[in-house]
Amino acid sequence: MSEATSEVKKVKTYKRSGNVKLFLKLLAQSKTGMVGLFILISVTLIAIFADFIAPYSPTEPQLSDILVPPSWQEGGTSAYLLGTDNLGRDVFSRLIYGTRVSLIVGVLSVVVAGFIGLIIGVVSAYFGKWVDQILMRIVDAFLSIPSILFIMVILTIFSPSLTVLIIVIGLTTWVNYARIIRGEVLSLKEREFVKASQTIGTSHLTIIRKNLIPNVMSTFIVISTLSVATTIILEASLSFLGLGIQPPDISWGGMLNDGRDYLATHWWMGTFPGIAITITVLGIIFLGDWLRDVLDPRL
Amino acid sequence: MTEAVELKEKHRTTDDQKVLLEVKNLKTYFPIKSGKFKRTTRYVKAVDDVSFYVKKGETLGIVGESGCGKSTTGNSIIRLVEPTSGEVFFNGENIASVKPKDFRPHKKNIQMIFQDPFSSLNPRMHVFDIIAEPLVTHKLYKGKELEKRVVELMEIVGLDPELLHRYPHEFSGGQRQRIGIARAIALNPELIICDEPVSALDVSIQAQVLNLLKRLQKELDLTYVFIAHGIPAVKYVSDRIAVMYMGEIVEVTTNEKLFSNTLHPYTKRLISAVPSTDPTKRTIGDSDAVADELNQEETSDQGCKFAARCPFAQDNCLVDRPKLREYAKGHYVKCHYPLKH
Repeated sequence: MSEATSEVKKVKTYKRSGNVKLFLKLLAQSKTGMVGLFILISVTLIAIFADFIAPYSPTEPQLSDILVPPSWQEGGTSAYLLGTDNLGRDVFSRLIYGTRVSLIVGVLSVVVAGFIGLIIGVVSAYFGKWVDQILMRIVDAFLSIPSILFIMVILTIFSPSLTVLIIVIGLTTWVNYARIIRGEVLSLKEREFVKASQTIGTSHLTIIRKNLIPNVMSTFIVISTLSVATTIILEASLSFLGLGIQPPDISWGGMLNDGRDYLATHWWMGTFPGIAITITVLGIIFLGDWLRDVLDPRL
Repeated sequence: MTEAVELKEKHRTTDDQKVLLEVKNLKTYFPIKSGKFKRTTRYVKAVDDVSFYVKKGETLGIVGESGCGKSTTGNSIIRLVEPTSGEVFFNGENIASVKPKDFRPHKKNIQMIFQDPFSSLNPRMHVFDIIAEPLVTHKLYKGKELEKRVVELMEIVGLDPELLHRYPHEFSGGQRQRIGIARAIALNPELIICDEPVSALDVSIQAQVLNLLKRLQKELDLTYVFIAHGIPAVKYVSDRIAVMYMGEIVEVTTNEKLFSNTLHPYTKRLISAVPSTDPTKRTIGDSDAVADELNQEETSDQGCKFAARCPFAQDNCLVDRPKLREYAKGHYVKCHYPLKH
């Protein structure tokens, strides 16, 4: 018994070195990665603490203060930092609350799309033959429909709510993941370690879980982060077309849409949400690029 | 068919050792699809009517040039590739015809060591997980017991257990191959198919790995099918050697006889292609060496497959396909005119 416990103690010492430290070290080496992470963290914090940051209610009209310019412009007051819109609502507060919708839609629809795409891509490539044929024809069918048209049709049938928007965007963008992941797995499954697992008798599910998915994870994370960026833009375009988030809920795309009619005379209504989208998307892209370099155990 | 039966009867009567693996008329063809509707137009006959047996505790070397079907033979035995036809008897049971589901229990007894140690280990798994995989899959050990067994396996193959939680990329080629060997012996298999286990390694490391394989064979009572394209490695580890050419076995005999009493002209060319370590005996540019690459399409369905390259080919070699026959006791050759000594 004592011999067994000493053996166990000996085994206990074979621990792997910490990964978090290495991660931070690699992050410190990349300026763009730092900037991207900083932007993303800030935006996330703003979304979470919107109630505390925003100086005014984002939805309540203040008819006495309609279309006030930004504070530094002539006629602007320090009360409204970025001015007010056509209903007298504070643009700055609306921008802060809009962060929530943009991030939630961006992240959650990527989760939906990524999950479907990853599973379909791996299964399609690993099992091959008729499974691959059927799944890839479905992917082709999805690709042949212009996605914005598809989303518009769905959103006119179902009333656009946050949930519907997330699911619809997820359902139209999963094909990108499926195709990329399938390509990766096609080459992976011919590698000898997959064959080794097969000769051991490991089940298909375990091979997929242990051998295939971890090895496509770095690709997956990179396309996912970049997709968050494109999804935020997609949500903005849908809201701009009036099909996205419906008032009184606020999204950056919806704000852009509201500002469109006033762009020539009251530029601040449309410009600031545009800038917010650009900065957020840029931050995410920076982070995605950096992750691509980092997520490789060989580096 | 008769060929195999004859072969079987011969070795059954002459050998007292138990036959562990017996391959009979194994054929593995790969379809070539072409044309508008991807119809199968031709077949690549990767393994074409191969028969051999391996006795318990021995090492059968399979040697041949690249593309001769030796790896496919190994893959067909272990069902990584589904054989087109033929029988594979393992401990008397035909494992080539059982359903994939029913083949699973046999995977415990037949394991494989792969050629490329850089691709045979999952880069995302720790050494521990790699070696533990077969044990976990077959639910043999759990928790602390599992760790203990993995540590034990690492010690057996000469790896420092301190490296348990490292990733494969942190190891050298020889160490990686040791991890692959540890994984292969984890289930205490009876038969290990070594698919060119040393050809991706430095020459100095090759000897270490070969010695390890030899030691494990003795300690764990293993039987090897040792596939390689290099004569020296095969000569070093094998008890008997089968020479493959274009999907067929052209000569099988004991290690000594293959070199002292070479019968097949192809075997002779293969042996002469090995560069000598003696600089005065260099054979570069020797007309005896096989110069041209294998070309599957050139061979006709008639006659001896080696006839086009054989310096001793006669007229009937081009028409009449030779059969594997026992030329001397325990020495099989597939040639109409074996070399005289």
